[in-house]
Amino acid sequence: MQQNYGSERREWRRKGVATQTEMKEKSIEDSRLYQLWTAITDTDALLKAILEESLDVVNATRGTISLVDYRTGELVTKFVAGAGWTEERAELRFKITHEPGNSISSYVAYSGVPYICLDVTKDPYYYPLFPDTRSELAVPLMGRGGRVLGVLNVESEKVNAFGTNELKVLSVLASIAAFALSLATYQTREKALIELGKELAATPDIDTLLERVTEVASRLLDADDCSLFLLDKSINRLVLRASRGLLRSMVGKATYRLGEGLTGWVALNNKPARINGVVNDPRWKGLYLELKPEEISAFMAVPVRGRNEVMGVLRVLRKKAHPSAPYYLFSEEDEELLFTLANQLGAALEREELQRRLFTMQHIATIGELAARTAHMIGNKVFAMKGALKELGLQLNNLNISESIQRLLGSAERALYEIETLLQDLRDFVKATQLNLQPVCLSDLVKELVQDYAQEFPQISFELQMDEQPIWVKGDEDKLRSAIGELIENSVHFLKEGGKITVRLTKSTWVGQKHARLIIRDTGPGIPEKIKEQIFQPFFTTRAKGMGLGLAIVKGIVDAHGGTIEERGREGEGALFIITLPAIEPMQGGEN
Amino acid sequence: MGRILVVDDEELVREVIKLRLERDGHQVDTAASEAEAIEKIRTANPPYDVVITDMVMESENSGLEVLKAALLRDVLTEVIILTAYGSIANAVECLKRGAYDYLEKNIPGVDVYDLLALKVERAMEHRAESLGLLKRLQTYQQTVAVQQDEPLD
Repeated sequence: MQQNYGSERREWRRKGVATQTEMKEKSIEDSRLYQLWTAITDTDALLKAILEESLDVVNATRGTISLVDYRTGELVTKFVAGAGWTEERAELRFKITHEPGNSISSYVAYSGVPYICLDVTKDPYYYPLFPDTRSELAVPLMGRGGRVLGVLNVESEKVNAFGTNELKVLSVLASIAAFALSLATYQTREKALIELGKELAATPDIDTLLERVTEVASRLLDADDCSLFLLDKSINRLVLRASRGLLRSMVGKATYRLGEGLTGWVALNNKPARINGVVNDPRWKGLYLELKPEEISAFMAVPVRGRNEVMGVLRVLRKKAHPSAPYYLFSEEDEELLFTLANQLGAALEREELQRRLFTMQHIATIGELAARTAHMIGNKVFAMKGALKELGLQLNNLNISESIQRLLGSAERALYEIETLLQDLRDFVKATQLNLQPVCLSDLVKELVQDYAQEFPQISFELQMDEQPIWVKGDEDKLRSAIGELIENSVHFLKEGGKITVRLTKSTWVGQKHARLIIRDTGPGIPEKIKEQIFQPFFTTRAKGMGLGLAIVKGIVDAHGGTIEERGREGEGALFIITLPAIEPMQGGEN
Repeated sequence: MGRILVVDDEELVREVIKLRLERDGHQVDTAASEAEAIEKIRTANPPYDVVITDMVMESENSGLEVLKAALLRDVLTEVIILTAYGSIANAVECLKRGAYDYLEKNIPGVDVYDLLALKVERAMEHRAESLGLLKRLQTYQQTVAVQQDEPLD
């Protein structure tokens, strides 16, 4: 459209036709406002031009544009125009206050209302900078939500130099300046968000990614601390996963229970919290910041959301520059920004989780297929060798051979039997992840299992703790039974007489998603720190029997159900396995 | 004792099963493939009493083809299917189609050859029973036919 219009105009010029339209166009191009507009992406140039334009249109001697430094609560002179400025004068900072003698600009920044000073000698707020100044006009640069970004100030050597007309003109210029300042902030934020978006999609390492989010958030929001807590379903707590600032040394250590403190409140209620004067908020706990409440200027936290559930909390904090500094608030825009960051992060985390699960499944499937084929071939050969050895033994028997040869034969046969046991394990491993999903009452299943084991092992005491409401999951009943059974059997294996196994089944509800949480704890020796990483890997065992697919199969089954399994016990205090499974609504009795 | 055909593509398996069953006094033939087995079954005279066949040879369903050929030759031939890991589903299918039994090659801690010999024994008994029943049925039919031929008074 614009281009067409332009070419038409050029056409008129070529023909030498002066039309009304052309004249209007020309005057627009000549106007300073139009030139200002073209400089909209260069904020500094624009502000300077606005200041000069201001001096011009209201016939002022000098002028300044100063900006609010919210961190210190001061008004900082940014641009000056007119005669007589020295570096010293141009670098002045004023406390933003209603107290007299701190400059008219500072009072305007405080009140957010324009101010006409007809005679400086009679003005309580005036701060003498130039001996010839007689009158002043100051207009605030207003941002969104009534926030003062800065002040446009002009002065004259004449008394009574400025009236309502001048105020009107200056207000227009001040709005453009405020608009440009806001735009610059938005552009910085937009750019950072796009950058981060790219990184979130491309960074393979999740921890680096989390670090980056906190880094970007603290930079864009001018925060002294930005911390990311993610929900650890196994322990049902928010755990600090990344931090930029005050909490940095606490990563992996600081935790909040759901509902505990403001951070826990945000996760539990799936709502943001933006608070000034944290001290007064009853939800505030501040468990880990080494800050006194009165040192905190503002706090803001938003939930990190996945599609179905809250995955964590992203929070930022501003510290007071000094005890008497004003509260440095987070604005609505700040909250929107933090939300956007949290949403991007939520999507990335969910994608990562999905990929991890998919990779695990594919990994298991690949191993499974390979194992199946290999097992088939090995099985055939073992079958043949077993028969051959047997026949060989019989024939040698007739020859009255020495005992040592008989022993050798026996060993060879036993070795073959062991191979068959390994094959059986492999088969179990492959079968474990092929599920037949049905609604299953996990409560009944666990109860039956515990009763069965309690009967089978009377020398060990069993304790069963369960919610009154039955808990249902969508799962493969047989596979779940064998997985949970394997864990209990594992505990039994390591327990001496008089040992105890506690099985606890509860339902935890996070926003949108319910989870069954099964804890199996024993009073055995526990799992040594150094092997914790490996226990769920295939072919790892400390037990003599089998090839150690037990826990790998258990994990395979749980993974295939979309659940998680972790070992959280301490060496010497017993093993503690925690399984979480997505829960479903209870079925009507007798349906299963 | 019985006439038995052992079908497996593994030479050692054929040899060992043959040895084991011969020890029990059976007369044992072997075939190394589905095709060879079908040919031997077709031309056997009298038909085999028991056919022992591997499930998976040329194809996933080789055992099934051998079963079909055996039953076609003599519906009372007893067929035992051998399965290595992973082909139980096919073996069950064979049972549905008239196989006498199936046997997993790899059962940890079990002497599968003794088990096989036992199953062959039972299969022989089963076949004898069926043959006896068939004979009595034929005798009965003949009797009925003779009675029908006699004119009624």
